[in-house]
Amino acid sequence: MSRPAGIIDMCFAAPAGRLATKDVEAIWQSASAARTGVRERTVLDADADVITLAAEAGRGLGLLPGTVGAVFFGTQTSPYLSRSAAAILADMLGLAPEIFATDVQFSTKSGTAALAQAIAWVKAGLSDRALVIGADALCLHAAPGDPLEMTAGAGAVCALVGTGNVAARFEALGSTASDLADGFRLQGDDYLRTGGAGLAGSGLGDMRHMGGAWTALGDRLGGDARFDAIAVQQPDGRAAERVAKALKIDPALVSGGAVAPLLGDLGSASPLAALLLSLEGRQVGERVGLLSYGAGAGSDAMSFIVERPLDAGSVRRAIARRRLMDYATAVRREGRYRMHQHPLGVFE
Amino acid sequence: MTQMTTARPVVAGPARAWRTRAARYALTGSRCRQCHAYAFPPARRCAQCDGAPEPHVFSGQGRIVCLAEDHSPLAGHGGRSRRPFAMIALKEGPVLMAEIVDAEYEELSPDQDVEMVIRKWRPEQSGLPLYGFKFRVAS
Amino acid sequence: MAIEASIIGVGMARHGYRADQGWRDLIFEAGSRAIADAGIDRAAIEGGLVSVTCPEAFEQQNLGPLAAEELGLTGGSYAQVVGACAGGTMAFLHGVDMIRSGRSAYVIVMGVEKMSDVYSVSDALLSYPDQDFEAPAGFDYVDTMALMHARYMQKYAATAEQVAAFVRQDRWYAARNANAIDYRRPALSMDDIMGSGWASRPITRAECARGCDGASALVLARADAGHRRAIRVAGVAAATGPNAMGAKFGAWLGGEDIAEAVPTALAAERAYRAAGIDAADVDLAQVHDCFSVMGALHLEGLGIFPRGEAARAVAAGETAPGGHCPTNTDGGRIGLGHPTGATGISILCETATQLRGEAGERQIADARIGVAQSMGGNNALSAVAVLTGS
Repeated sequence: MSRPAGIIDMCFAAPAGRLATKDVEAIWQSASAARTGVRERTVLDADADVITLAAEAGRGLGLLPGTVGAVFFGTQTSPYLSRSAAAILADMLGLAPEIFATDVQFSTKSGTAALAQAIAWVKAGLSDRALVIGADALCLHAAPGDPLEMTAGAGAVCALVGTGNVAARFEALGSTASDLADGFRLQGDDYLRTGGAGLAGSGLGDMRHMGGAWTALGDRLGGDARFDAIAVQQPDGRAAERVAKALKIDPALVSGGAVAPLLGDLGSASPLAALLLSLEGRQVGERVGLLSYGAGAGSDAMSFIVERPLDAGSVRRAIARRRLMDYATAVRREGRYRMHQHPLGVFE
Repeated sequence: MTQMTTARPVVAGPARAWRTRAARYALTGSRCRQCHAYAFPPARRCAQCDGAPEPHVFSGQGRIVCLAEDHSPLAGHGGRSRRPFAMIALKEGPVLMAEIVDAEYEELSPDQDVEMVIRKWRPEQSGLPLYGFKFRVAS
Repeated sequence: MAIEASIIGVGMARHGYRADQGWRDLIFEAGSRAIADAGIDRAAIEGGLVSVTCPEAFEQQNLGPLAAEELGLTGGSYAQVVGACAGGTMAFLHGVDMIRSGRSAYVIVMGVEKMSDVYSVSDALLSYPDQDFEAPAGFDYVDTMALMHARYMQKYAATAEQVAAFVRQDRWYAARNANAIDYRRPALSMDDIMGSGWASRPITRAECARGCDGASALVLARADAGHRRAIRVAGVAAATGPNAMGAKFGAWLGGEDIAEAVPTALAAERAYRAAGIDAADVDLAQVHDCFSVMGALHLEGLGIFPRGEAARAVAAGETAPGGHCPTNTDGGRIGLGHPTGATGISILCETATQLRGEAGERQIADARIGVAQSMGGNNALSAVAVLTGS
C-alpha cells in the first residue's frame, strides 16, 4: 500500500505586461480575436523566461522545507537546449546541490506530467516532498501573424507535493498518449506550428485524448464519481467550455478556473493555475478534477480530494499586476527582432 | 529566441559568473560571527571588526533610498527603452544598486518598500545569461 | 635636502574623434610636443609611464616600452599604468616619485586613449564598475553617477539646473581651448542642456563627458635642474574608497555615502599638507567632471566649496574667470573631451599652462597655485596634485 500523497501548496506567477488581442488583430487584419475568448494575453519581459517565472512562483511558497528531495520542471519552452531549468531553479530556491532535478517536457501538458511524476516520487518514498513546476512562455514561440500570437502568453505555477499536511490528496490518474502531429516545433525553428486547421479542428488530438484520459480516470474512480470542480487546459478563453461540452461535463464545474480570458494561453501552467483557482474556497472532502492536454498528443486526468482549501491570492495578484502595452512595445519586450550586439542607446 | 549579446564582439569566453550565483539568486550575503554585522555582497572579512563572516540569506525586503532612470541601455538590456533603478537599503542594513521592474520611474519614490525578484541580467562572455536580483514594489 | 620635482614640458594631442589617427600617432604627437617644450635632449629621459584604460580598443598592451620606442626613448625604464580615469594622475604620481627618489633625472609620463575604436564608450569602460553585481546588471558609469546625482539633489536640496550649470562653465572654457572637442562652439543655454534628453535621469546627454581620442604628456625633472618655465610639484597624493555603489553607505564616519567624494577629500588633505597650503589658497582647479554632478562632488572633496554648496556656487559663477575658484579652465571632461587614460595628465598640462601664464584667451589672472584632481572608478580612487608657478 503506497502512502497517501498530494498537493501541499501552490503559487502562481505571470508577467505584468498585457497585450490586447484586438491590437494583434489590427496589425495582421485577422478577424479572429473575438473567437478566442481572450481579451488580453501576457507579454514576457525581456529579462524573464520560464525559469524566472518559476522562481517567482517558487519564492512565493515561502521557505521550503528541507525535506524537498526533487524538482520536476515541466515546460516546453525552456530557454536552453541542454542546460537544466530544474537545476537552475533548485539553486535559486536554495535546494541545490543535494536534490534530484529534472526537466519534463510534453508540450502544454508538461506541468501535469511533472505533477504526476512528483506524486509517484513521494508515494514511492524517495523523498517526503517534491517541487513541481508547470511553466511556459508560448509568446516567444508564436509566429508573427499566426493566430497563436494573439493568445500565447506566459506564466508559471509552482506546487509543493508531499505525503503529509496535504491540501489536495491525490486520488487517481488517467492518461493517454499517441503520435498525432497536431502541433509541434521543429529543431532550429523558433515558432510553434499546427498540423493544419483541419486536423486541429477535428478533435482527433485534443477531444479524443482528453476524452480518453477522462474516461480512464472515471474507470479508476468507479462509475459514480462526482466532481465539485474541474480544472481544464485553456489554450484560449473558450476551450474549457468546448471540452466540457464534448465530454458531457457540467460547464459550471470548469468555469471557476478560468485564466485564459485575462492572461492568454499559459501552456503548461494553464491547467495548474486553473487547479489552484479550483482548490480555493472548497469544502473538505470535495473532489476536484484536473484535465490537461498537450499537442502531439497526450492528456493527463487526475482527481484530488480536498483536505484543506488553498488560497489563490497569487493568481489574483498576478492578474492585478497588469501593465497594458501596445504591439510595438510588446515586440520589443519579447525580443522578437534579430538585433545587433551593441547598445541601443549610447550617451556619449 | 536566444540572442548572443556580449560587451564586445568576442569569441565565446569561458563560463565564470556561476561563482557569484548564490548572491545573485537569493541575495546570499554574510553576517559576522563575532559582531553580527551584515554585508552584501558577502564579505570575506568583517569590515567592522575583522571577524569571520558566515553566509546569510537576506530577506529580499528593502526600501528605496534614491532613484534614477536609465535611458541608454547597454547591450543585453534593450528590452526596456527606459528602466528605473535605485539604491536600495535592505531591511537588514546593507545597501545595493538594482533595477526596479514592473513599474515606471514616475510611479516610484524614495522610501517606498520593495521586494526582490529574480530576472535576467546581461549574458556573460560564454553566452549564458546571468540571472540576478532585481526589485519591484512590495506586494 | 629632499629632491623636489618639476614639470618642465607639456604636450597634448587634440582631444576629439580622430578617426585617421591610431594610438601611436596620438602618443607620438603628445610626447614629441612635451619633449620639445621641455627643450631637452630626449636621450636625457631615463624612464616613464603610460596610462591607458581601454587598450582593448586597439588590442595592444604593454604600452610603456612601445611608446618609448615610438619616441626614440629606448633603453630606459617604461611601464603601463592602469588606474581607471585617474590612471594619468597615478602615472604622474609615480613619475614624481621616480624623480624624488633620485632614481631618475628626467621622466616622461603620458596618457593615451582611442575611444573612437570602441563600439561604445560605456560598454568599453564596463570593466571599471563592479563586475560582479553592477556591470552585468546593466549599470555603466552614467547610471552609477545618475544615482549620485539624484542623491546629491536629495541630500543637499540642489536643483537640476544648479548641477547642470557646470556644463555651461565647461563650454565657456572649452570654446577658448584649441585642444578641446568644443573649441569655438557657441555657448550653451540652460534650455539646451536640460532639453538634450535623458542619458540616465537625472543626467541629461549634455551633462555627460565625451569619451574620445586623445593623448597628453609631461616631462618631469628635478626642481634644482634650473629649467625656465618650470612648474613645481608641491604635493601629490591619492586615496581610495569602496568601488561598489552600495559599499559606500556606512563606509565613512561622517554620514557620507554616494553624494560625497571622500577619497578626493582624503587625497586633497594629504596633497595640501605636503604643499603647505589649504583649500582657500587654491587659485584654480581642474576636477573630474565625467558627469556634471561629479564636478560638484570633487569641488567639495577638494574643500573649495563647503559640502552641498558647490553646485549652487558654480551656478552663481564662482568657477568662472574672476570667481572664487576658476574651475576646469580647459573645458573639462564635458567640453575638452575625456580620453580616459590621458585625462589625468591633460588636467596637469592645463594647470601647468595656466600657471605659466600661457593659456591665451582663457588665462586666469594671477594664477599661482593650481590643483588638479582625477577620479578612477566610482570614487574608488582619487588623485590630487598641487602645482605652483613662480
